[in-house]
Amino acid sequence: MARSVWKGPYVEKNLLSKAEAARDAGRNDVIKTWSRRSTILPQFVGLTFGVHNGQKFIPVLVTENMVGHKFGEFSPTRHFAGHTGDKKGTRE
Amino acid sequence: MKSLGGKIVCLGRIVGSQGLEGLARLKSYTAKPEDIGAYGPLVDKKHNYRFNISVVRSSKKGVVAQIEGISSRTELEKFYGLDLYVDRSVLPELKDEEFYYSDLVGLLVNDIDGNFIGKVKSMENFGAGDIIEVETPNGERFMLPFTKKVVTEINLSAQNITIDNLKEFNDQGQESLGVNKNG
Repeated sequence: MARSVWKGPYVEKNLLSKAEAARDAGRNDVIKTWSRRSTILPQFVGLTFGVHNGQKFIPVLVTENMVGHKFGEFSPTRHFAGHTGDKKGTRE
Repeated sequence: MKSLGGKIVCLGRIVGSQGLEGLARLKSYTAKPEDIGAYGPLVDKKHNYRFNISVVRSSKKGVVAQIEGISSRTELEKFYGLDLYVDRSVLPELKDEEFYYSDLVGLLVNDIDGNFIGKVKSMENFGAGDIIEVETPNGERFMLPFTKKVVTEINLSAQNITIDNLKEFNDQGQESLGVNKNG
């Protein structure tokens, strides 16, 4: 069942305060978090989070189209290191 | 067959056959599975065999392709498990700031002062942008976002990359933000 709208999105309190502190400081440090269940809010856009996957922190640079999703969606807990093939990446 | 020269990139593997007519089931490592046949003839690692393949269809189990010169299942059986490679020079040119993962993996990583940090272990993308994984000489691994701010310079000819702002990704930078395990 979906979460009731009146409750608003769930975000860990500490994570919210850390994000605010990072934004106010203007340093754009990586904010380490274990709270994979927290929802990505619009005020997180542009910040980089290190989301723990049970073993290490995966850097997650929040963009607009990630708002509404949970942090855990971008930090998989199971990982198969496949071949590189013709895959390419863009340095943003 | 002689070597094509230069670096080779693994694009797939022959995993089995489909039907009795010699169709091969391939595991494709390309971004789009059907592209395994888009880069011309494929070779094995020792360049003993050369395969001209045409993709018939792709499914959940992999790509089904016809290999030129193979018309029966029996002929194909000896190639089961064979990795298929293509010469790196065959891959198309990329735009600025675009890089093949295969070019980046294995590069040496230095910091902005020229100090050696480690090697690029792998490249990943979990949906939040490209990520570069670095392995230090003592076996520790850490991940960094593949951005201009962090990866300041990529020198493919010298086989190294330079990373900056590393301090932001280690624990020292976190203390000032009051990091504890509650968040």
